[in-house]
Amino acid sequence: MENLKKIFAFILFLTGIALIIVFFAYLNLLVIPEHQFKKYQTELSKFTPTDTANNAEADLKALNKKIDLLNKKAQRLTPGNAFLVINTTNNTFELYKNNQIIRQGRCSTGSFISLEVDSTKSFLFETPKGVMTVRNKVTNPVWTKPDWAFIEEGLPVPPMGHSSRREANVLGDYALILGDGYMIHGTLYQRLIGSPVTHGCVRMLDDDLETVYKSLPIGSKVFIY
Amino acid sequence: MKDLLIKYKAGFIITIAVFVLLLAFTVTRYLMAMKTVESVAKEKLAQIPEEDINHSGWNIPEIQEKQKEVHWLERHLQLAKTDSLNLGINLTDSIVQVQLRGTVLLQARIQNQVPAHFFESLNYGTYLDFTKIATIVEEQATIVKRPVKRVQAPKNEDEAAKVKHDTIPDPLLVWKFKLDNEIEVVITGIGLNKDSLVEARFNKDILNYSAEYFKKNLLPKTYIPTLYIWLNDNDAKALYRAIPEKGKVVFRN
Repeated sequence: MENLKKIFAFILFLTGIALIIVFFAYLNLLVIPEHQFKKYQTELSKFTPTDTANNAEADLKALNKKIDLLNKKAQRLTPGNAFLVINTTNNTFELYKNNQIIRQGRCSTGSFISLEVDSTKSFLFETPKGVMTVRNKVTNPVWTKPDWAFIEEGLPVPPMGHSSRREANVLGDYALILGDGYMIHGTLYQRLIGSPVTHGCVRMLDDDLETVYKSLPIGSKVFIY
Repeated sequence: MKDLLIKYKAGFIITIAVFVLLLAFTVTRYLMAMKTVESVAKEKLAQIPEEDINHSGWNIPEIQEKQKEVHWLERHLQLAKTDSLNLGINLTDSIVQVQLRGTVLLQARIQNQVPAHFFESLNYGTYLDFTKIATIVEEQATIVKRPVKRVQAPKNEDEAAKVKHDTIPDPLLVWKFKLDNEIEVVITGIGLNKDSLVEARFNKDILNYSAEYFKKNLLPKTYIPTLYIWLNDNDAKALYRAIPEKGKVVFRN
């Protein structure tokens, strides 16, 4: 009985200590930071109000006018016609027309693989971020294989213009040329769409590609982030 | 009672000693924390012109709202002149967005925010400082910005056939960055389809961040207000990877 009492007292003691620690941990971890922020905000919000009741109406009118003007300016920045937005992290796209999404879905972008040839030469398969322009549109595109396409396959690199560099029926039915070797095109490997597997180009499913091709005229903006 | 006190004297003494020690530590820490905040606020206010602090009309809520709208639009237009992707944190509408040349490319809804009211009431001068176009000066994250995988070019077709590109899924994002206007932001990604666990996750995260802050500031010597934001992890990762290093950030509240 005496032993039981001792054990009970010891458990009570430990519980007391634990409760004290939890209480002070709560104060230190949550209450103090909260008070710090409140105090900081209070200090920065102090000011001597200037009574402008007489001019309030005029000020409000002027501000409304300014907001209208700024809104108009801001609206002019977004392309009025069709444009495409590519998300390279999630491998998705959104096609806009008149500021409304008219189609969205999966696509594939750069794999971020750096193909190391030797200590001085490497190829990074990355889709560049920023804004690009549709420079040209092609139906039944033929792929002109760059050097990396051969290096990646462990094949010898043929000279420029060699017939082995031209390959038809691998880019789908359409291609939108963005410049610097980058394109939006189709693929034979439709099941990989949605994964980062390309060499920098943007690949799309056949149906999506057709809609994008038909919606984006030459000169349209392609935003990539 | 007296008997009990005598019998378990050591236990009572230890309990009281622990309580007193922790109380002394907490009170000291609290006083230091408040003093630090006061001096940091004083320093900040000293950088702001008097006329901005007491700007006319700011005391009229309707005018204040309109002025905030004007500033947000002006910053938006200013950022649109650059070719860089930038981040807009709109606390009024609970949205974080990526913009490029004035076009909003991604809008992510804020799932949770701590403090719940982050700088909602500031004087005009400090509001201008808070909402100026700020630059990221320090950042760290649980994933890399550019997930480059280095692969040796195969020497022949046989070697090429053996190459596999397995990918390991990235962990949930925690992206911490400090801005040049002395504000820290912590963006935490939350997974989808775990709605019932979301609330528990926020509390756990906050406790972790608070413990981290406590370890770094046992006796606070400086203060940086920190905004914690939780977003859908996919959106959070897209935001993080879109914004370049030393990227620009603009707030609205």
